[in-house]
Amino acid sequence: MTHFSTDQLREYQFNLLPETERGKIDAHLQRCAECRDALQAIEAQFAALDVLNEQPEVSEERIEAVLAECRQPGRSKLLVWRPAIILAAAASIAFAFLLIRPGLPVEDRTAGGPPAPASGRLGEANSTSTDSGARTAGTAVPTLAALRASQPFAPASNIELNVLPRRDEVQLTIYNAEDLTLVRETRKMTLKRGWNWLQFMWSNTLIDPTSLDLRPVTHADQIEITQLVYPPRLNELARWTIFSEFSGEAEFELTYFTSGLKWNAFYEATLAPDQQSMKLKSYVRIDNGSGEDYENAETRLVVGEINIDEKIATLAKRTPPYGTPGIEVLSRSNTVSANDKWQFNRQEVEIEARFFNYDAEDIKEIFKKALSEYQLYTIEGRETIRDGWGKRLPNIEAQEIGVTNLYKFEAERWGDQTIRYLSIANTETCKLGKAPLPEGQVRVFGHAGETESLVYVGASSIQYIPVGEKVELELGVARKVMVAPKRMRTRTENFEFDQKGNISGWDEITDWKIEITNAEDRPVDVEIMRWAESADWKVETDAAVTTYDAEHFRFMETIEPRSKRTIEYELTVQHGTRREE
Amino acid sequence: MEQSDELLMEAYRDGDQTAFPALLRRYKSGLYGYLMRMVHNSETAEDLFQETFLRVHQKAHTYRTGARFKSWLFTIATRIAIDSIRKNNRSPETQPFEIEQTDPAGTPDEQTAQSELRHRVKAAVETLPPKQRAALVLAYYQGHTYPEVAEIMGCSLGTVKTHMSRALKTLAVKLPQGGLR
Repeated sequence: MTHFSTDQLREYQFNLLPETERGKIDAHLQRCAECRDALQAIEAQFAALDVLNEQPEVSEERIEAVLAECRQPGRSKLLVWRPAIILAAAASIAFAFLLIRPGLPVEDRTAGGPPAPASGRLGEANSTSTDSGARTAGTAVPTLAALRASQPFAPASNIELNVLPRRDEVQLTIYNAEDLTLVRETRKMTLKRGWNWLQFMWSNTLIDPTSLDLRPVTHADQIEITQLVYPPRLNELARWTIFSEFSGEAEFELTYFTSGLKWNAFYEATLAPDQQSMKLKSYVRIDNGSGEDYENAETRLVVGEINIDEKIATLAKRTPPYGTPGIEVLSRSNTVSANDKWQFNRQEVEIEARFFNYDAEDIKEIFKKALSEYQLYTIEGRETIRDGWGKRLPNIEAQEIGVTNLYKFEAERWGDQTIRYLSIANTETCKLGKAPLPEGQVRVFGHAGETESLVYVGASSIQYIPVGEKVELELGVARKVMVAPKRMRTRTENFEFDQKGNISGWDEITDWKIEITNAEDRPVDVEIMRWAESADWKVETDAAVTTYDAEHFRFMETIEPRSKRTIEYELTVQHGTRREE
Repeated sequence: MEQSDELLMEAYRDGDQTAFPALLRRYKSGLYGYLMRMVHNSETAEDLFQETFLRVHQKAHTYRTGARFKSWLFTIATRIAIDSIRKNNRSPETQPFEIEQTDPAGTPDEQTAQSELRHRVKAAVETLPPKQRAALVLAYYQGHTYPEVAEIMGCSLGTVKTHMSRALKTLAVKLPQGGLR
């Protein structure tokens, strides 16, 4: 009888074999005591695994720690090394490094000392030597020079880390022209005298790792940020080495670029019943798809084209190595320089004026600053913008803005339809004119008859409107104002002949009649654009006509409520040698 | 009736802040036990437990309605645990000393024998490469079926069986012959 091997029986025992093979072994075991014994031995041996079968529970403190950490706003995390007791081995490695380092005071060499980036939470127990070394061996405090000479290697693990306090302030500057946002955070961190490590993680975000920049705001003359490293095999994190000449709290500013934040302006216009004025409300909607929560963020919006070499989203998705880190931030002012190709001159930054004054407390005021050819809007107050969320912020509200209604007719563009336009001017006389209006969608509502209920009139998008400029909103087809041109008669006159008696030139004369109907309860202005189909033409009419361009002329008429008006004109187009006259 | 893991996770994803603590406490034994068997160190296991749930929190917005939460959770935990084991294999001196837990009800002799057996079994399991260890712990201790283990580990059923087979072959050499005594 052929027996099955131990390997086969073990795989049988743990149900790793295909059904057919299992069936064969089942049948074999029925009649083979030797294999049954072998299987029992396997079973007994592996029963030993059950000694690890207890069900331990994680400590309640750890559960609370997880919950506390999850309640923190941001997902990018600044981490520092935790107190180092469990990392004695790392300390000993660092100590070995210290021993062979030339120029260190003898006390330090015998101290059993310390460096170890792993030696402590930034500002609590870290520093390369001072506290732990002196305490354990009772030696003198090392000099700054000695400390400085013992710059640690980058730590190799990211597990033994603690989370720093949340960011204190954050400012977002969103550039809509590119998918780009400059984030400027301030965080207070406690440093120890000597070397400190600081870790930044940006997993699941669209942060550009090459743009990370850290600088001290306070104690800048006592803190030196020496390098930023991207450790191997650890994706989406970077670590700074910081040398501090003192122990205590310092404020740092961290700046970086991210993508995924966008803003859009929306306008809501409500026409007065007489349609001669309107109320204008505007909103700014900010959408955060950056992967990061920003709490209590000051938000600034930039209008204007910028030029960058690479999309931030592309940079953010890159795998290590990340390239040259660091961006140049000139100061804490509004001046930003991220790239030679787009640089803001601080001298050009001037606060011009508040956008509007409003009583309502929830309406955000926008402060506008001129940044060279860019416009920067700062939304008053602070807002929390969570990842994946969009937020609409009320912006401006202006009452009784004067508007001009205009109905346009141009057969070549819209066929036999008349299009309604509403024009407003960004001027003080129109109760605007304090600042340019950012581009966005405008929805226009009107009143339905005598009732208070509103009806949707139409929507239009506007481009950026500088102060003093006028904008026309196209509201779509007008149903109550109609324009109907009719060709009445065409004839040719004024023939000219060449030397052989052939026709060399003539005039084509057409009589036109345009009937304009106004079914509205108010007078309307109608602009009728006509195409002569030639550059050699003339018009004879009693109506008010102006030349628009070489081949077009237009009529402007005001039509009384519920009335009709007819314009008649004679269009003469010259052909052949008549054109030369 | 108790809400399912999936409903809790969906609620948390959609902004219900009370759902997350409930999920966390629901797995405080199951997930921690798994991580303990993977790394055999309570402090490291707690770190990994924390890291796993932080990832769940961070990735909550990516959780797909209808996806099996337990598989998703163990997938995250497995990746984190395997990474941790690999790192610690590079720097074994960072493994702190762990005190053995024994059955206080037994006689001193029995306690000693059990402690020794635990030590040998742990040592045997620790010799397994991370993926083999994960396959063994998920299938044997956590009671997942092989297809579930494949889903958690993100590999084919055949690969799981291969990991398992190799793990058992290694253990057959390391585990004491004759079983529990």
